[in-house]
Amino acid sequence: MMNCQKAERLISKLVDGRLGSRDSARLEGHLKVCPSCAELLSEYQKMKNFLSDLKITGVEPLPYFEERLKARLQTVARPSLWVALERWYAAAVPVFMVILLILAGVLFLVQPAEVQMSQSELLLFQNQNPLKDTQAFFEEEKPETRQLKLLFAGLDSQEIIRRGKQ
Amino acid sequence: MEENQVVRLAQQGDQEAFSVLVRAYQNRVFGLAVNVVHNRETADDLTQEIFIKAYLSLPRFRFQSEFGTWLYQIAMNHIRDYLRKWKKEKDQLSLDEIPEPSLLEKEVSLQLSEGQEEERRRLLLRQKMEEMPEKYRLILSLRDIQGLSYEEIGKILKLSPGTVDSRLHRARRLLRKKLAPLLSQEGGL
Repeated sequence: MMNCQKAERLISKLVDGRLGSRDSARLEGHLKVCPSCAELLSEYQKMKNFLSDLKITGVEPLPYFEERLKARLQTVARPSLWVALERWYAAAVPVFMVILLILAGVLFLVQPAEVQMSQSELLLFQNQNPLKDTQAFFEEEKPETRQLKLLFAGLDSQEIIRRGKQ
Repeated sequence: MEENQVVRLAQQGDQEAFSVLVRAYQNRVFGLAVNVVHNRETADDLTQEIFIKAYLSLPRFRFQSEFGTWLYQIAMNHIRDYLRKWKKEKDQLSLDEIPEPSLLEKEVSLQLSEGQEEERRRLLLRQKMEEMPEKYRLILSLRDIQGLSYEEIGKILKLSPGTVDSRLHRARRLLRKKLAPLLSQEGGL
């Protein structure tokens, strides 16, 4: 069963000539049993007729419209430089935005290269003396021990330590 | 010459081409304005301002719609701005400056006694239309007064067909409520 609110919407469409046959039949059924909606239809039809009667047809602007417009246009005429700037601006803004987007994408995707540090740099980074162990080698009393330690230290110095693994 | 060619020439600063466009559309734009504001002098002034706006905006016209639709969009925006400004100014008037409500009635009675019932009805309708929010006033003017199609209204006001439908229904419902005592009279207003 259709309520009156829905019926009013359909009445509005009916007087506008936009109601489909199915809705038209439903509305007709409702109007038969609802005198207030039947009255509403009559009011909508009157209103529609009165409104269309308000239309002012066949009218033209006041005399010398074009001459008056030309005179006003001369006072607001666009400077040609401004027109050129406007055109340039309209074309430049999208291009600039695309370049900006590409740059932002490149900066986001490209990661900075990992910094590799030597043993000495690592010790300096940790606020320690890198010559401390070397000093100890030279302070060894036995020359054999000193030479062996220097030999092994030379092998160890080839090792590369990465900061990220610490 | 095709309209788009004339528009291109006008964009390049050809004054005569712009005059061709003015001559082609001045009556339609004026008709649009006069049927909303119901005053020839105001409508004429609005039409001039609309063409000035169109002239200044012409370099930004990208042929994404028909020139007429684009011009009507400018026209409706300008008329909408005018209505808002007019309503604001009207609201700011002191009570002393607002005509007494009885004035209209007196005028109406006088006109009725002179047998000008149709003019009385139009006067009352216009008064009720002016009291409505501008978005309802505009859509009622476009559809019920000027008889534009839903598609045309949708393009001009940049609304979907569904929004046109629902806004139009709300506008009619509001106007009917405003006119209810008069519509229910036998024979109308």
